[in-house]
Amino acid sequence: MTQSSIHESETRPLVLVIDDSIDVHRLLQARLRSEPLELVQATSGEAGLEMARDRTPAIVLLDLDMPEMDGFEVLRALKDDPRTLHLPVIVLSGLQSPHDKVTAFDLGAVDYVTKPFDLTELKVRVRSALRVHQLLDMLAKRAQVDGLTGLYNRAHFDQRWPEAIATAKRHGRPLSIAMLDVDHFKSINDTYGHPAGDAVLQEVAEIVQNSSRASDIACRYGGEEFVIVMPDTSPEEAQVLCDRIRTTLEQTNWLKHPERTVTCCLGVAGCDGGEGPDSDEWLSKADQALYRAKTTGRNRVETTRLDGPQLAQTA
Amino acid sequence: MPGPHEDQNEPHNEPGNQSGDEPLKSEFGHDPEMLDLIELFVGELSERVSKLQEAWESGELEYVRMEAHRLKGAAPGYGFSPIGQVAGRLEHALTEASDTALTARVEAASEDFERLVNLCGRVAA
Repeated sequence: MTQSSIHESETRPLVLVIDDSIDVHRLLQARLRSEPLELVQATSGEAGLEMARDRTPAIVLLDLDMPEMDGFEVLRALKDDPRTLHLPVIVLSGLQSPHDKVTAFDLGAVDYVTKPFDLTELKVRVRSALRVHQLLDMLAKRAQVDGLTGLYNRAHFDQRWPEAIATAKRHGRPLSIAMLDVDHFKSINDTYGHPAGDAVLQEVAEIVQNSSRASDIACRYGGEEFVIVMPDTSPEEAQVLCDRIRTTLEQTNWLKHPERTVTCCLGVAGCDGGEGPDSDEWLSKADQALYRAKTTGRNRVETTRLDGPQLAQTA
Repeated sequence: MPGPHEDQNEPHNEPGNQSGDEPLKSEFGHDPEMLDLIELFVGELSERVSKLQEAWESGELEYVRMEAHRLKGAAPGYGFSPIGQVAGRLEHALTEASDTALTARVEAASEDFERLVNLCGRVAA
């Protein structure tokens, strides 16, 4: 299955040009028009830094000799900021001394093109830098994706879950998490074989993904377990969503084993705003709710409200 | 700071060093993608040169150096390589003489400045 948020971007990569010369901006605009990229322009180091932070371009073309904040300072600031640290920077400069080139590379530039530049050569260098950027970006994204289901993997969850809690607490917003476990999954594998088990996991992932909103973070936690992080969602709303997942799975027809339905349990833990335990304890509450669902008959949703009375289970 | 250009100390034998009044045409005059841009550059150049001359006469040599730096980088992109070459020499002369007195800087750069103004006055779209 696929997930829109983890597709490689189909939009044109953004190339930020930081140069105080309006001529350079005009020439690049004209000469790179035919390239599959979008140019954004800044005419000072300060403006360029701000755009690099706000727009997260794919690459930066940076002039060195600019009044006030020069390119070396910009490069240093880009590399000092975690938001822009990994941005590939091609220096585009009239400074031609080896010392300037060495300094630029030492500061983290990936390439150095001297002015006046040959536009054909520049195009090729920009293409090459974009190719490398896209490959690294794709590898970084794939490292966060589960190969079987296409959902985000555990590593991604481990990174995003504490961030989601921090955001909810900072803004006093609701937040819920659900853990899902497929009922009797081992018996499906044992009875129908691992390909049938894999098909179940893929179908569960698709149901989870289709039931989630764009802001939710659906991950395969491991084995037949999944987690769904639901920002801006109260435990009651999360319970409704989880019950929809549960019933959809229950009603699914299976090509490989039409005689056997597949069900799941979900454990939800959430609260309304700004409160809640740390990430481990919060997840543990969801796991305990899942355990209750398992031990009270399976094919159920159990919900724990972390800032109030328990909610009724659904089945 | 800028190092010497390849032709920095060579005898002045490129177009930028020839005095004359024949029009200087863009090397990209045949390129439809560039026609509008060349026209824009040529149209704005006289004002840029006026400002350059004002700065030169009032001793604002850092402005002159920066503008020469920009022309060095940009003029070849519009197909006016000779302007880029002379602007590069002017920038270099002003940079090399940056620690000297104003009169010494002016003296070191005056030949290239005059050449640049002459060339810019000859551009034609």
